[in-house]
Amino acid sequence: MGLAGPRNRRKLDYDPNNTRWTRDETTFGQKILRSQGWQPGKFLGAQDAAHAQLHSAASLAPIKINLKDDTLGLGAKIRQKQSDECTGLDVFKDLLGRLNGKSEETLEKQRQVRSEIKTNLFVERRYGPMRFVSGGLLVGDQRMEELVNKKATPTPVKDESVSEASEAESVKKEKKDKKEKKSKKRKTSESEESDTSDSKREKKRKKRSTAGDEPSNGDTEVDKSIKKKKDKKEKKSKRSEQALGGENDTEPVDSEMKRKKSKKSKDTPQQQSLSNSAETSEDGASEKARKKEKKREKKRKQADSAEANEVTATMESSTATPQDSGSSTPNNADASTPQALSARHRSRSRHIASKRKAFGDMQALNQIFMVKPV
Amino acid sequence: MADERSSKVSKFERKRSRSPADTNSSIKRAKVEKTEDDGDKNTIEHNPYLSHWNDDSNGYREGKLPVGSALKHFRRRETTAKQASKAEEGDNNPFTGQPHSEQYFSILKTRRNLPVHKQRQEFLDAYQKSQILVFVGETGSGKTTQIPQYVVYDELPHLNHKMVACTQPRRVAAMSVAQRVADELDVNIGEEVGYSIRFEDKTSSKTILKYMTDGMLLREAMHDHALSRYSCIILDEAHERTLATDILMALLKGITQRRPDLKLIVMSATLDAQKFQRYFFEAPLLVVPGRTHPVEIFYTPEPEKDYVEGAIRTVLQIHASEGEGDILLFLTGEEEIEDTCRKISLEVDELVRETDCGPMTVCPLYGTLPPHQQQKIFDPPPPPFRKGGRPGRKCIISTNIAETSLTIDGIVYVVDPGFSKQKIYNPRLRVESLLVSAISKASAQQRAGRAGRTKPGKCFRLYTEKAFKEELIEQTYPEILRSNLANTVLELKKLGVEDLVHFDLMDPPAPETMMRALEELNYLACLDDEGELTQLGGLASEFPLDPALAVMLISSPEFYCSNEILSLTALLSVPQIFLRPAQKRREADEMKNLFKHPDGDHLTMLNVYHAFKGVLSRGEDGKKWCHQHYLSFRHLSSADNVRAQLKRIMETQGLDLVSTDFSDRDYYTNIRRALVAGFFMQVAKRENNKIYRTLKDNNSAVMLHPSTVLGADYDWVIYNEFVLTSKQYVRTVTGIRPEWLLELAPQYYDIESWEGQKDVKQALKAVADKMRRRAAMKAGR
Repeated sequence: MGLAGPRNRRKLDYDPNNTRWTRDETTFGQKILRSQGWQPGKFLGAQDAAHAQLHSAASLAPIKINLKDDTLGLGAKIRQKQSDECTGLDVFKDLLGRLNGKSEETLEKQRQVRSEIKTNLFVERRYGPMRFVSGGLLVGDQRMEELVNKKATPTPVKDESVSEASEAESVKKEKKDKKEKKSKKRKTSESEESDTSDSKREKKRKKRSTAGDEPSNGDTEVDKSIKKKKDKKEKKSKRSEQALGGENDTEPVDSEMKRKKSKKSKDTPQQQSLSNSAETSEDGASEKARKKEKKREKKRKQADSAEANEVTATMESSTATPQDSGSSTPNNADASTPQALSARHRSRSRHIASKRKAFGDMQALNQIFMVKPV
Repeated sequence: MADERSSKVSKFERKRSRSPADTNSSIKRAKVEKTEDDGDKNTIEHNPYLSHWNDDSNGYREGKLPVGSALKHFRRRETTAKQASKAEEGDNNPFTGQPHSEQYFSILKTRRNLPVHKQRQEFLDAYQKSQILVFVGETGSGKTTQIPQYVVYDELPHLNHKMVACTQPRRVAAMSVAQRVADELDVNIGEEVGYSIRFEDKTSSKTILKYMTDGMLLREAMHDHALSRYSCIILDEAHERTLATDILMALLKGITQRRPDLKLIVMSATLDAQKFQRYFFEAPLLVVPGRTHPVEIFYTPEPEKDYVEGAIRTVLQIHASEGEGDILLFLTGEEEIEDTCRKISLEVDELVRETDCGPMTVCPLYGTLPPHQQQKIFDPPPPPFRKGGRPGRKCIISTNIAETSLTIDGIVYVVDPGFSKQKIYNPRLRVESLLVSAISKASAQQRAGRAGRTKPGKCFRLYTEKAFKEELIEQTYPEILRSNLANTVLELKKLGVEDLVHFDLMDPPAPETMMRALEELNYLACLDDEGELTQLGGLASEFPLDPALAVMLISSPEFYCSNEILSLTALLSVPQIFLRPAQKRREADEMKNLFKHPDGDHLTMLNVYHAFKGVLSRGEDGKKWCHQHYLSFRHLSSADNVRAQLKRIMETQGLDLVSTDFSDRDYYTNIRRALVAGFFMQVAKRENNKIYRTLKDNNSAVMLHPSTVLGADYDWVIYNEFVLTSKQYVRTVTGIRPEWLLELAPQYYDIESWEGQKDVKQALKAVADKMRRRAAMKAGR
């Protein structure tokens, strides 16, 4: 496991494998075997036997196996504990962010993202994931949603939010394999496997109140692979949407409010930031519907946006719950690249400023040079 | 041959006449050696395994057939399947002359439907042409029951006094198959068809077909090096590669070259027959396909965190959503199986209450399960709750017994977590233990194959395909590579194998394992310093026991406690007699304390046995008494049986059965000393409060097993078992005095050549000094 592995103190005896006995050439056993013509490193058994090439290594040295006293499945690695993560890495990342000229707010947001991931991770490991499936909206809320959408006015945002979003995207990418769905109001449990990219099935699903059909293992496998594919598609579509909506993003705070009111069932922060950037200045309702559609089917992305209004009732809510600790290390290089050419000068001066600020921070310097606080 | 036998008898007479004198002489190892002087040939008369050598009371030995037998015109090794079929269909039994029963014909019909029947002629052709034949047939092809019968019809064993033997790795299999074949041939078990297993011989002079454990055939070979009683030997389930089968294969490979009339069939259920062919001079191969259906295999997408939990969930999911058919789940050990049985039963109850699922019975299956409970796995699944409801099913949770050999019909779903308990031996540390480890690919395929016996099935593997490909070894290691070979080496010596290095085994053991075995036998004085078998060793090989136990038993008359040691040996060769159910540990321990002897567990076991015998002799209900006292009635009774068998061997070997008077204060001391005489290599010395350290090569820190009754009064203990878990324990311990070690095993506890463990050396030195002073004082007085 390396340095990050759990520390397991074990006292080893002197010569635990008793190699002294193995090497000792005066033992009775060695004496007898040698007198009958055996030499170290040779097989026992008939000389030049026809089957000798089928001998295994176990005929040369005793079999060794590891002691197993847990119920860990075959091929599973030892359960990762919270403490496995490198401590202080996030602080270090903050620092790097500052050096790369990120603003305090962005950093604060990142910090929040991380702490959310951590909490979710803890809850999931501790209590196990609960899977939910959307059951549509409460009827009374629909009008509220429309109202809110009209209020929303687009305002330009800093480019950071875009990079932020792509960052969160990369986070999400890493744990696409296990998804958790939650809806805020209604909680009807259904197996996650039951959603496929098939749009017909989607409509069927809408009608189903509770689908208690747990597919067999075999189906599960197939479904999972489908799901994986679908996730990839989803991601792609979101990407393209970001590129589209990059110029005229809505104001984050505003959109967040809207999102809350619309009972959109999203609860992890990455998803939030994603939705921020993905929000366009178009009519809110149709845009939302379109987005939902995209999640299901890439091809119908734009064409169906008008008709899709009816579909609003079905809430596709694929909120990722973080799976592995690695997810807390987003791609920083990615984040700093998409700077606009015109803003080059401005960003450069900001770089310099933040570097200066970082160098003034004793604590940060200590961390860079790995000096332990006295 | 007749001459040879008469000379043997005369030798035997001589020995008999001398024996009364012997009993008067002091009981020493030397005496034991004297009786052995006559060589092993005369012991054939004594040997219970060969008891019907001289029994010619029946006409069979003279080559008579019943009048009008259908076999009259048969010519040995020239028969055809057609002829045999005709003989089988006759009105009278060709072997006994009795008319066939109704049942016979109904069984005959089912026999004709077995896959192997179609190839009877092909088999006979191959069999008659070649001395050695490798036969591959999947479990369920009918090979175990049919092939030996085909051989009997071709070999006509009653004409030439020679039997057909079929070996099985397991005792239960030998018994049940023999019973089945006796029914199929319409004869009584123990007459024409018999079986012979350790501690039970059910054969007679009439026997022409004998099922036996591989270990029993090996024991017979010890006295009859050419196995001259047999005209054909069938090694069944050779793919299991038990220790005895491996040794037998090597022996028979040699014997077939010396005895061209002896035929050998090696039967295997897996398709790695190439190795067998290569080993037996490229012998011809005959393959009979089993009656199998396709099995769909499923892997998990990612590794399971907890395979037991995963298995439970899988079973429940199958029950809830899959069609009719029984489930077979493989787990590792008794405790795990019982635990899982309970959990699944509870969950199924819940499932049935909440949904309209059908009923499900859950049955455990493992080696130490009482037979009547084992039989449950063959019961039909429960009927649906109401007419037209969802069908009930059976879920069998088994160790790897159900992997091969055992045929359970109706299994459609197999759940395989990929683990089993396997024996492993570390010659460097001299520890043999049963450890949970990953199975092999071959095992996994065997397990999956269990699903396709009655209809197309499914196998759910609780691991990823990647794990299957990368983490599993190709073949399970044969037992010979995983065991302590002390007993085997002793047997080989007795079998006349002098050159252990070049003994032609299919998979030779690691040299270190062989060295260790030789060393242990040398310390036990079974081998002399030149590596030759001593008289003690020869005598020890007569007992179907571990060398340490055998030596302890043989030397027990020296300590005037052979009766007690005999009981103790029997108790140590059966599974644990104390029951300790998980929910009732405290009560069980309280009951155990009733029998407690402060000096240790061995003596406590002895107390239990004496109490048990007392109960039986008073005519009380032993079963009830055992239940009340948390003891295993089955294991105690089987210990009683083993004791009787061992007693017979002791009597034939001229070992005295003596006891110290119970009121003598040395009664228990003598027993403890006798224990040391056999188990001086399994000693632990206390290091500090609760930690003991095993001596010499093992050299590891251990604790006394929580089940022990021994208080912390002893600095030196001997133990019967080294238990390797996350903590290391020694189990079944008894306190001893260090003086005995120096006195009874001076070669092993030689202070001069002692290496390592300086504190032990010092302690031993102090003890030796004390002994010397005491001796000097005595001499001075």
